[in-house]
Amino acid sequence: MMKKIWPAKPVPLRVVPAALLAVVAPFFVLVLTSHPALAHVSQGTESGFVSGFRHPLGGADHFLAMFAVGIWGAQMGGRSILTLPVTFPLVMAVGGLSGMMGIPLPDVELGIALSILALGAVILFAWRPIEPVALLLIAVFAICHGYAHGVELPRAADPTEYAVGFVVATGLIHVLGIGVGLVLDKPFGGRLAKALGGAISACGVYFLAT
Amino acid sequence: MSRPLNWIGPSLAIPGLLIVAAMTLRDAAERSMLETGVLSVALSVGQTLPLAGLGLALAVARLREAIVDGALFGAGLVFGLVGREWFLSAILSGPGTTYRLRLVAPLACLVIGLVLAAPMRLRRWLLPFAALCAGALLGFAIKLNDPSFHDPTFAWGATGAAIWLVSAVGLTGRRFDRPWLEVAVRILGSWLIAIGLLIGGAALVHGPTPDNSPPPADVPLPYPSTGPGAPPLQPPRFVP
Repeated sequence: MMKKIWPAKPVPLRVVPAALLAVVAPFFVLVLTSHPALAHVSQGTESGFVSGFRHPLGGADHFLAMFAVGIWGAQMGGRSILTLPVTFPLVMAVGGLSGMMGIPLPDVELGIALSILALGAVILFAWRPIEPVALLLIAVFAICHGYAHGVELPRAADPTEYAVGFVVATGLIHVLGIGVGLVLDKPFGGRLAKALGGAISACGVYFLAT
Repeated sequence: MSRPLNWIGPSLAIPGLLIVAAMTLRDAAERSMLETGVLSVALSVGQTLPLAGLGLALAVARLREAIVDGALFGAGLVFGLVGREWFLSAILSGPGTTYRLRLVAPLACLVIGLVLAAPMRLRRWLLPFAALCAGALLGFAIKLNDPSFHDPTFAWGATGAAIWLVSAVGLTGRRFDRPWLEVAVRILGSWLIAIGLLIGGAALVHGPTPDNSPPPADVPLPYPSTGPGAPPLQPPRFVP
């Protein structure tokens, strides 16, 4: 008999906060100790794992988009809890390769800002499309985010550790988003999750305007 | 898994981590070749990630299959250690191909990542091949990084560290026979594929660039510098 990939029942609320704390605490330590920087504007030479790990965390636009992917996956439920965080890094790597090879991609920053607006909106309206449509949407945004990382990767003193750092950080942000999404999706009919989506979307409007 | 066997993995992992930490804290000049070999694997992200991934794949596989795949990994390791010259001649098959040596770690990440990200039914068929490949690539990487002149202790240390890492992760993972482990394995597989693509791309970007220099000008020299038509060589005249 095949094992179920995910629990049939929702995760008990009493378990999730402890797990979230274990995941979130390192983030706060790193974010509080890192200096603020736009995620896709690099000044100077990037170095190893810590620089790569800080890159998505230090940029609010990258963090919010990846966080929203996790929340949306949790809100959609079912296979999407798995397929969205699996697909995003893979497509992001393709975008990263494009950035490394110097393939021109216009309006990357616009795409990143739009990703925050769009992902916040789909959470706000609890949009549950069929899975291929959802994957296509996040794939388009993953290309933009990956491209921004990939442009800086060859300039890193240690590209291997830098790549490991930002892929791991991206994945952990997804996991954080999934955890938060699972917690917020049940109380008050999921209105808390929708409100968070609205806030993320408002940040997207801010990034578009600035 | 029975209760006593549950603790084999952590019993391997924790002392091993402490030993690696102790070796790391030692001054590099005082380390023996054995310690250098151990740290060349334990502190190399490009090697620990595929090894940890392989350990996870063995953790979620059936026990008999995991034993066979582990043996295949060992066989691949031996082949990589022994067949260094064959690997080098295969990889460095032309001029300007030394950048291909940087593709060893990305290839290992890709191979293991694909296996981890694959569905369970496909993974049991891919894992033997992946274990063999990963072992061969790792063995080759160990010989490539060996700074000694035919001192076998470096290879012993590195091989021991590799086997320890795979065993510790695999046996520890077998304690957690939960459905969520399968989800985590597939997510980690996608991370490994992404890392392999990115560091492989970085290696290719730093590869040889095509020769874009202009062709030599087709303008004849006023006289040949050497040969029958050349003017006789005369010492330069000193002008005070």
